Amino acid sequence: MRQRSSRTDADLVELCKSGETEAFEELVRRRKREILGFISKFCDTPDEVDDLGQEVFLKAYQGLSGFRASSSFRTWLYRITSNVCLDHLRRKRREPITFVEDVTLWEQGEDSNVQEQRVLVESLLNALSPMDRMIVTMLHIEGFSVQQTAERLGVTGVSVRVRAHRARKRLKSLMEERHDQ
Amino acid sequence: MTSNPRNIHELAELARATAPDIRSVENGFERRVRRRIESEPIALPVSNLFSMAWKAAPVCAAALAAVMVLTWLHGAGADSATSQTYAFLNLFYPGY
Repeated sequence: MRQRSSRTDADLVELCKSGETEAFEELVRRRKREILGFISKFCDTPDEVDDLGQEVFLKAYQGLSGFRASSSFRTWLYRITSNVCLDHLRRKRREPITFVEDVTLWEQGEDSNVQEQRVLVESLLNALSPMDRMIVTMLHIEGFSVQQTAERLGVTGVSVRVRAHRARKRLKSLMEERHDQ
Repeated sequence: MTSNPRNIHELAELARATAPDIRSVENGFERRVRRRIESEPIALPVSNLFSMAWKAAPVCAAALAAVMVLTWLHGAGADSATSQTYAFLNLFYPGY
């Protein structure tokens, strides 16, 4: 195990391709925290995070044979994650919104003030289109650069800049409306 | 903590500060992923071949139709299967 943890992601990917399934478990162990943390920005309950997280790693496992090392495994995994999250956001948009109640499902012992503020953040970000929300999350909350965001979403840097500008403008007007009330 | 964000930076700060605790999800996550992978039907190479063949079928049909039309035009008037065969060969080896 010690030997395995000193291996790079690329080494583990090669091992997976040669049929060593334990190497994939090591990849999951390495990346689960950041991937689940990222997914949680778009989910209302821990069950949703768990389900989408499993979906991400399942897709990664199934697509591993087609993975070329033109990008890092991490970037490739983020691309799968963002696609899964975008699908989730689009599905959610078609369903009636019940997030106000659901948000409280995160932690029973959690401070109600934290929950209220999470609802506030959710209501602001939810006003954006799924793709704009994804870009704002990657750029401003996760702290990725424009280039990193573009790579992870499979779009151009110009597209990221244009969408981010539009999203910031929309959020600014929404926040101003809240202050005026 | 910012209670009512006024700009994108304050909103991002608030989002990070109120990020949910995912430790409960992290526990045993690898095990659940493994179970999910094991429960999913495996995409066998045969099914991939079938899928590729299915996708290629219209292209093959169109190509075959084109060759048949060319053969017919080339050997217009030929009334037997043998003549049609010579016409077909003439498409690729003129003077056959």
